[in-house]
Amino acid sequence: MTESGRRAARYRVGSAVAFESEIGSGADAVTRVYVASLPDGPLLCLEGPAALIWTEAVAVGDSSVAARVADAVGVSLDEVAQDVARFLDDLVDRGLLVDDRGAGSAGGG
Amino acid sequence: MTQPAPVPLSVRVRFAHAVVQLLADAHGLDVLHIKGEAIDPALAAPDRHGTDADVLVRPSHVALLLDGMRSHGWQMHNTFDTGSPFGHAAGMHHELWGYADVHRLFPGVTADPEDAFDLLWRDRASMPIAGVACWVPSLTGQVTILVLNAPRSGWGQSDLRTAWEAADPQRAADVRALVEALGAETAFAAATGDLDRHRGRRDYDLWRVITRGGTRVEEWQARIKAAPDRRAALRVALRAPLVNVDHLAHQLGRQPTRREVARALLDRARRGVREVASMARGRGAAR
Repeated sequence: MTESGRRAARYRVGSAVAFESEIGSGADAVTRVYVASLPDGPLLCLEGPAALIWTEAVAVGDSSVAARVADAVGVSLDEVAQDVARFLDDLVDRGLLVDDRGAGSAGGG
Repeated sequence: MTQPAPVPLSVRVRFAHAVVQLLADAHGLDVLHIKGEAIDPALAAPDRHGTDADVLVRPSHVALLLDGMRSHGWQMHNTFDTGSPFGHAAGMHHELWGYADVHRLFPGVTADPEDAFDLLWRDRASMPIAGVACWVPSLTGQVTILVLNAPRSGWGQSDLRTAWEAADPQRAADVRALVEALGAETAFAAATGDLDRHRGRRDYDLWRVITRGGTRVEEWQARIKAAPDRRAALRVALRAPLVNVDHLAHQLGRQPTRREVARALLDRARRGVREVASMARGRGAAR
């Protein structure tokens, strides 16, 4: 992707936030992402869609998070956009993610 | 989103590293993350995980780091004096992040601790741990620490294979040069099976006891002999017969009463007497 084609990053991890992924293995594997505010906590465990949204927000960081999540779970963007936006807002409110565009539509496509 | 489920130990340890780095940054303190989760993947066995977060702190910054940790819920469970024969690390615990060992020096290094830290600090590298940029020693520094740690570690043989025996000639030469600069030749030799060439060194007996075993009295004598000066030797000598209250508290699962400390003191004194008698008999029999 060229510089001009890359969408501006919107989300980034908070400055005092640590996170670790644990990739599950085996038949009943659950992949989790642990996210913590430092230095005092809390320490949160994200599973399933929550872990997916976090991972996309951290990896991509732009406004396509909801579209990527929709694509990953095989549903339309309309079906998940609002929930993804709400969840991202929650992460921002907790200080785990920073939204460089400030308040507004979070995960819209 | 859910509140904390049982968190894997390796994840907890990595968070502990991140917390210590954050506190160090906040207070302008120099910290190097060593061993366990801080080992470069190229040097560690794939299944190697730490059980606590080990950090080596600039000696003049140790008190400030410990104060900073205490102010964020960390409690000391082992003091420098009671943690090990080397007095090298204080054990800290946090109910969320688990255990961290705060090193003010590294066992086997006989150079001045501040100078030794500078040697490792000047070639440091950055490594993300739990998404936080943490300072770690250079690869040469990491190999050196793993080798020096090997005689006292359950991972020792594994570390020697992956970090030392696999080192290319240039890395091996760099490690030997760093070992010499750190004054860690005896510990290095203890790890690599060459200890007897260092019989004349003051820390030879201590590494012999560590690698080959010995009685409590032999360890005590070796610690006194290994002390860098008479004042340090006197401190060891005066502390050796005392009860390790931290260890006793761990055994009991609570703080011991004064009576229990007194009983342990007497028990330790009795064991010391028996060991001396046993050594005397051994010498007599050998004649």
